[in-house]
Amino acid sequence: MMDTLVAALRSFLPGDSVITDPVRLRTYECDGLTYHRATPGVVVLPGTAEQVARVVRLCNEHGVPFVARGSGTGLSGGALPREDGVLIVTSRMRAILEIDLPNRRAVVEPGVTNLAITEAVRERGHYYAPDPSSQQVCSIGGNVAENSGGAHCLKYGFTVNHVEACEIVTPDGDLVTLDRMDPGYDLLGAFIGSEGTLGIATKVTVRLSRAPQAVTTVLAAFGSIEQGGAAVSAIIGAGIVPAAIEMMDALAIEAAEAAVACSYPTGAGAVLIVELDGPAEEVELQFARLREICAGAFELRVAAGAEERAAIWKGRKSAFAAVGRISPAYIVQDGVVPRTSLPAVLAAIDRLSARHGIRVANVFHAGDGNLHPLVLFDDAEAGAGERAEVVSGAILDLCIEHGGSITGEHGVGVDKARYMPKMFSADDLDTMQLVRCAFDPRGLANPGKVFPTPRLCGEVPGVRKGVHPLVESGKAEQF
Amino acid sequence: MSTGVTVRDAGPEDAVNGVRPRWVALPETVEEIAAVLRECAARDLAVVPAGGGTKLHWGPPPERCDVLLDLCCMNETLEHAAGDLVVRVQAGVTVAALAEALAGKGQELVLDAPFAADATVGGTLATAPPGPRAFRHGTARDLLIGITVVLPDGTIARSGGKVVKNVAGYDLGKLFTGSYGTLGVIAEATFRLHPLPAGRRWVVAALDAAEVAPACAALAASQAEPSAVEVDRPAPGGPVTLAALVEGAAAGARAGTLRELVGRGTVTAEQPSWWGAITRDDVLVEVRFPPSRTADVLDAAAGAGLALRGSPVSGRLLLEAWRDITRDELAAALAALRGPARAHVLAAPYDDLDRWGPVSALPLMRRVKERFDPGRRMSPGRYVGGI
Repeated sequence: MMDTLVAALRSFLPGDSVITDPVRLRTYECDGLTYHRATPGVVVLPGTAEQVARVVRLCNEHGVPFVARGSGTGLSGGALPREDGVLIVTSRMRAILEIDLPNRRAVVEPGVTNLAITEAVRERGHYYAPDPSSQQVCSIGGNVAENSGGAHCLKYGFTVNHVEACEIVTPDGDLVTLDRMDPGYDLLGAFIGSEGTLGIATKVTVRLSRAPQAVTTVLAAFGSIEQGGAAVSAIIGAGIVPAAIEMMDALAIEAAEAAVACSYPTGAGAVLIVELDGPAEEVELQFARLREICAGAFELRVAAGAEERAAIWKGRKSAFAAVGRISPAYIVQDGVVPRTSLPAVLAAIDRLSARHGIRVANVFHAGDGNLHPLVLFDDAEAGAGERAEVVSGAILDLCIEHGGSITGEHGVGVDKARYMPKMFSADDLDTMQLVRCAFDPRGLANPGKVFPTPRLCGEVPGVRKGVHPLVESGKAEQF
Repeated sequence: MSTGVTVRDAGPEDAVNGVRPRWVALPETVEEIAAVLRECAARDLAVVPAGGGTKLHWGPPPERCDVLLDLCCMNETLEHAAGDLVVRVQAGVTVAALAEALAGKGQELVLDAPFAADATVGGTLATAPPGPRAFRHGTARDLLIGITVVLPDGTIARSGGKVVKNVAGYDLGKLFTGSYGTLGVIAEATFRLHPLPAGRRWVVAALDAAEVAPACAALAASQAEPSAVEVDRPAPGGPVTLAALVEGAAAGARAGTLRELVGRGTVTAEQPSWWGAITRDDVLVEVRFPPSRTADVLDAAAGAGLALRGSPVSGRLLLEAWRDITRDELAAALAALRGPARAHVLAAPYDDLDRWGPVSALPLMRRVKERFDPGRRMSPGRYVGGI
């Protein structure tokens, strides 16, 4: 099967765009979630949307699953390949096709990096708002698949709020444009964040934002995480919507210090990074109010310019990698709770940490209740990895208990599919599956991701045929 | 019907675009909606959901309608977590009642829905009309963070939740927003809220049509950050009133900056009477376009003899007929508008009209409809491509 498929792929793709060499295939065996690995059956590097469509049509003809991959920075295993499938890598589709400032739009190919869009328009006073931490390398196609957020989504929203249209290759291999200008169902909204299970974006029209007139970045150091949390509530209560409110606890600060010498105030139980942006007069008034609210901070630093702003952000942006300095291994968790539940949830994480003897460093987007606990362990110690897994899973249970979510921005992927039934009922998941079946009746687009149990779509009533062999053998349920 | 739900016989006043249902069902809970829909499924009855009925005459008439599902009794605010800036409501809550409740806590839902006194949250979501502040805050789909729907077979399904940042599972809220009751019934909705702004100022100026596009371009690019820029042109070919809204701290100073950009006008704390309003919707056309085509769209609307209102900076306008307009005149207007813009008919008393124009993803939309409503019993024929 795979041999005939590879031969067919080679018939229209250049030689270096089809990878079958086992050593080279291993380059693609995982994404940013490195403890799930699989060697792809074959990797293709198409250069055009038409080539992507032809690859997908061939997958359909051969009944072979396919997985799309951008830069491979995802943290939930969304781009984990299939050994029996094709991995479609968009890294050669890197052209910025059009920049249209009068209409505040840019049209880009999916392999273009997030930051490249901003760099292309920055000198003309614009930027692309969503800013995931990996923005220097992550691709816009991957951002669309994951509905990526970033530190500034508190005020500006997520990828879905900044994409105007996508050309996609459907799981059948058709090229279709989903456009907010068209009437009809908001399929663009459903597609963004579907983690590659509804097709592959081959062209993305993003909205460009006008750079704010003023930006004020403040670092406030508090004695305890409770004091920091109270300041966050007070800021929101005062009717201020900052561009970002980030918090780090003592352990995360220690790690950042060890890794990048960010020189955060010593002895802080928590640091808060607050960024205000907008019209100068507004930012000035909000900053005065912020100063009053943060009166309990033992140190308050205000960035005087871009350089000092970067220095404040440096510790925060390097936090994930930094914990490598204080722990041999770690799990990056991503959960969300209502902002007002933050104190209770952080206290509960503390208790979990103590009970299992597993350290947890807390880094989070405090403004929107998005936690990124870093669960630290020594993989050389017997049983430590398992205990870390238990703590990491229990944190997600806490998020669900408090009415939150199992993922705020990293996606479900392969990592959290098993948690979906804890957050959603069988009816909820079956209803989502209706969307899947409309786009991908054969279940070939990134199967095994997002949803826990394989289900078959069946025909639309009226044209139903015999029982599917997988159903007959009890391996799948008919939906 | 043996569902235990209040049901009455329908009268002429219950007709949906001339199609009179047999019954009106008045569920009070999500479970009652499910019970009604299960019963309708068993008896192959067609259902049209309704909120305040303010836009029920929009869209083509349903192919059939046995039951009007009136959500007026589902009018509770279920949870307002003010500290989290989140509210969860039943679909039948009116936009005005919700706004009043939220204002008491210094917050608002930035939806700017027309007919706010009577329009419900559910009906506003189902039709997703454009509002002025969509320019800054996005449309209904951008503010909705969780939804409870009931499918045509009575299945109750939820997606999203009550946190703003959430990427778990497919976003059914996006799919149901603007779906005109053709996929199922919106029963409950959860929204992100915003603090009521410290101040509000409008810059209002009378402009010649030729001045509109450059003024709007300058306002859209301004770092004084208007929340909305709207135009109103009641007389086709006549003068245009432009109004730009500034919200938040230092609103007065920022409005002054915008006034300089426009070159004239007055700064006022009073909302213009026409702001976000729909005046006559016997014939109503929505136009979407790249802002750079503003001048062409204004010309085409004037040429067609239609009144115009909306947001050139968002590229969304509504056109109204303030006089009788024949089917052929409307068809010609659509043809002219479909050069520089996409134009679709929200309301018109004509059947044989291309209401939607070309839609690339229509085959996929049909497949979604087939999966959600295989029996074609939910508002059949009311939406794009006759879905």
